[in-house]
Amino acid sequence: MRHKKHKEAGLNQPLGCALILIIAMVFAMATSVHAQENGASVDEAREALSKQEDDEGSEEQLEEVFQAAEQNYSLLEAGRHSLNYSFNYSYSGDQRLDLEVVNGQVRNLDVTPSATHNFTNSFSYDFGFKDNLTIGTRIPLVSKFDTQEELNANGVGDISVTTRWQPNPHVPGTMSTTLFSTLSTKTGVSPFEIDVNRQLSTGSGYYSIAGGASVSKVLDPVVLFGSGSLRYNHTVKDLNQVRGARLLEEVDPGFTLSSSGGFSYSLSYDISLSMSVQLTYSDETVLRFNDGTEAAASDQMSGLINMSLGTRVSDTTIVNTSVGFGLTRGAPDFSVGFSMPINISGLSES
Amino acid sequence: MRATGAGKRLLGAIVLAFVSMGAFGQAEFQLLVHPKASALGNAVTADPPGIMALRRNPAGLSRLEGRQWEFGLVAARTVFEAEFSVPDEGCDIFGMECAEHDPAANSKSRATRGALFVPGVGLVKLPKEAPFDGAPTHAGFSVQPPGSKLTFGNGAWMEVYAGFSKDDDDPGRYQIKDVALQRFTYFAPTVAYQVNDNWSIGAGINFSHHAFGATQDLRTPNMLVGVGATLQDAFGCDEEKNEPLAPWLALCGGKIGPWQDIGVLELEVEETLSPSYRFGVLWEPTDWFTWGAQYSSGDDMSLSGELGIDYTEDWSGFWQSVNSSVLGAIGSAILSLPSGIPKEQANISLQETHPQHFSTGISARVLPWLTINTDVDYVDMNSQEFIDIKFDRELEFLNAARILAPEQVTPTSLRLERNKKDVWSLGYGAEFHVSSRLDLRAGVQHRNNAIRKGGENLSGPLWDANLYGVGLGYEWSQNTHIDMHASWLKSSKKIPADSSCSINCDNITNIVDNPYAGLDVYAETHAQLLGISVRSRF
Repeated sequence: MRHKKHKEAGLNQPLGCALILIIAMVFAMATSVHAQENGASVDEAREALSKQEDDEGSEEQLEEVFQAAEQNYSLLEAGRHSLNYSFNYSYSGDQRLDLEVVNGQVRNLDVTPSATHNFTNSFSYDFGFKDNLTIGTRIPLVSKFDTQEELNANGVGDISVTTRWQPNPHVPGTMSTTLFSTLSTKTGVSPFEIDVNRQLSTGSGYYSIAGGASVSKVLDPVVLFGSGSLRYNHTVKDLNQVRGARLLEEVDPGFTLSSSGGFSYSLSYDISLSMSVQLTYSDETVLRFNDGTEAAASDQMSGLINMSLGTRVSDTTIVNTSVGFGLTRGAPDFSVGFSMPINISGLSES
Repeated sequence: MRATGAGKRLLGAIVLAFVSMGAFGQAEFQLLVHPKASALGNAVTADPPGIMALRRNPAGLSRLEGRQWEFGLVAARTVFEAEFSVPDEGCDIFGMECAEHDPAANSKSRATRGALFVPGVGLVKLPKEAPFDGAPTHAGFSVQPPGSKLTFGNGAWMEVYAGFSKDDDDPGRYQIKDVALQRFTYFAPTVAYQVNDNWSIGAGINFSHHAFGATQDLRTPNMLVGVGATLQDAFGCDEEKNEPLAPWLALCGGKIGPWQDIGVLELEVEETLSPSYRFGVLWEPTDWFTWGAQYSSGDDMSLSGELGIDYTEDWSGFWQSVNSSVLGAIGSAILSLPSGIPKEQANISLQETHPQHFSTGISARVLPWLTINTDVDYVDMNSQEFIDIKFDRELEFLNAARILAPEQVTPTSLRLERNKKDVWSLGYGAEFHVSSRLDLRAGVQHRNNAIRKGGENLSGPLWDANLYGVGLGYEWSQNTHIDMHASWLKSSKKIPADSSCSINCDNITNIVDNPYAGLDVYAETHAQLLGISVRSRF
């Protein structure tokens, strides 16, 4: 029966079949493994990690690679649409230290336990502008709960727009390369414009633009993939936020460098497994206050391992589930994800 | 002592700004759902209006076969008028005649310009007065696979909208100058299931953006400030710039008085994702009778935003001079008097409720050419009785107000009581089936006000009112259906002097805003709405 379906789908080689399965499986792989941008605190690091799921990640890379089995280019064909839904839950728990030291004396010391639950429902839409050029947008809807402080927040996250360009047609057996750029807006609730003791943020608070490249190579039945990107985070000015006894007026989040790599393995026609690691370096973040003082959060690294399982639930639908583990302090303790394509008749690519 | 008066006035201004949030919330509730609903007095729970079944009864989606889309537009004209007059028995604040000193006395306020809350921008006044303001009201689609009992629908619509803007010199600017309250539902995945020939059920989740923005000029027609003005006269502040009692007491840093502006309040709060859910049921035991009911959950929201107060030079100058004197400095330390800073600003968070709503009704085709609909609506406005506001820093006016109302105010928080009560409304509609393609409609909805007696004000200027509507439904072609309506509403209220401590009390202890102290207020609101929606297949 599987073979019959296989033929109906027009895939005559085992490789093609495995590829199609893995394509959707990796949708959930790269979620929430991203650049830590400001490093101002563990909290903000988490913001950064959780919000940039729009970055070119392993899912897009693999999707591109496997589509290339049938097409010259691995991106969406010109004029085609695709709509995807994904859900991600992540948990972070720790002890936060708030310390102010002036002339060697501790002026302010506060240790706060924290337990934050993040639920993100996101919708991403892609449109094939040309065969080798795809533009897409991602709209996250974020719900957060801090069970220690009994705070919660619901809000639209940072909406982002991504362009992916594949300069050369894909030749089976060779490495495929895609260049991408992402513009992230600050539509979410900014962490710099809230009452930090009573509210939670749902966005980064600044605009950022990222550019990078992703590569992949098929070694049947395994696909290797990797990517690297650089993100510039725009300085935010004219803030007016209470931070202890001072007012925060400006935040310069610095830049972010991130890379990821991993592999996918097809266990059968209906099941495939993936594993990837993402490492992110964040430049120091500078906070400027109304009294002329500055505070700099040192640069830091964060890392996360993600595993996902792709399951075919119908001829046209593959559902992905994933689980991730933070490797460093700035990353979530763990995350669980789910993603699937949305196919409303005539709206989505099948 | 005057400090508590100042704090009280400012506290009152904040109160009014937020009171308007709730008052409008009811006033505009379900005012504009769909041309069919407007024409039938909103009595459509058992006869859901096209794809806006998403909003009035999700079970009604089952009636939409195949794949359909719908889009609606409205042209609206709303006029908010108010008249402030000196009562026959006269009016004075600490011996100062209102008629002589109050520029608002015996004048009229009129707001016809609209205002909007634009996400990312904030409160935006529409550019100029237009005969009608046009806007899209809703858009959506539904998909029912052939032979399936399931129907999926999704849409976007303006759940609540109210907004107006007054001129800079309008006498009504002391009770909300510009305001926009809106709740926009942008994503509403909904599923309906046809259980059998008689029963349908439906449920959906609504994702909404909820926002409120307001500006208001502040003044203090209060006996305490009247005392201050009288003392300034006695000191001869107008003629001589010298302080006669300096350095012990200085009062001439700026002119104050009961009808002197003290500043401008600006407030903007929003929540970009406010989830709620709805479900509904339809029962059609015969081909001429339908019963329907729907419930929408409302939401407990955490809105966040900013509040700013720009004080006038006179006001801040006055307090600076008071604080520069010996007695003033001592008084300030004891009573947390204002220091005279020109501007205060804070990030705020507040807990607010979008009320739950229940409606049930019937639709009966009593004659082959006539269908009668009736509905009863319940809105849980009592859930908005309190509003809790938290500030991220200590504000001067809160420090001052705390002395007067310690149980409601801390230096960084406010808990306000709004005079709210639950609301029941009745709606009736008649549909005349002129031909197989044309239906004519007429209806009325009796809408009750949620503000209790004694809490009337101009911030949410809609009171008990009847919403009248007429309209038609026309099968343009086999695939396309058009609904149109014209509806109108008039609401008026007399608020005699000293009858509402939300607008015109003149006693010394009232804690709520009363910028029109001692004046009779007559307010009238007109709304005319023309709407059209087109539904077709795709």
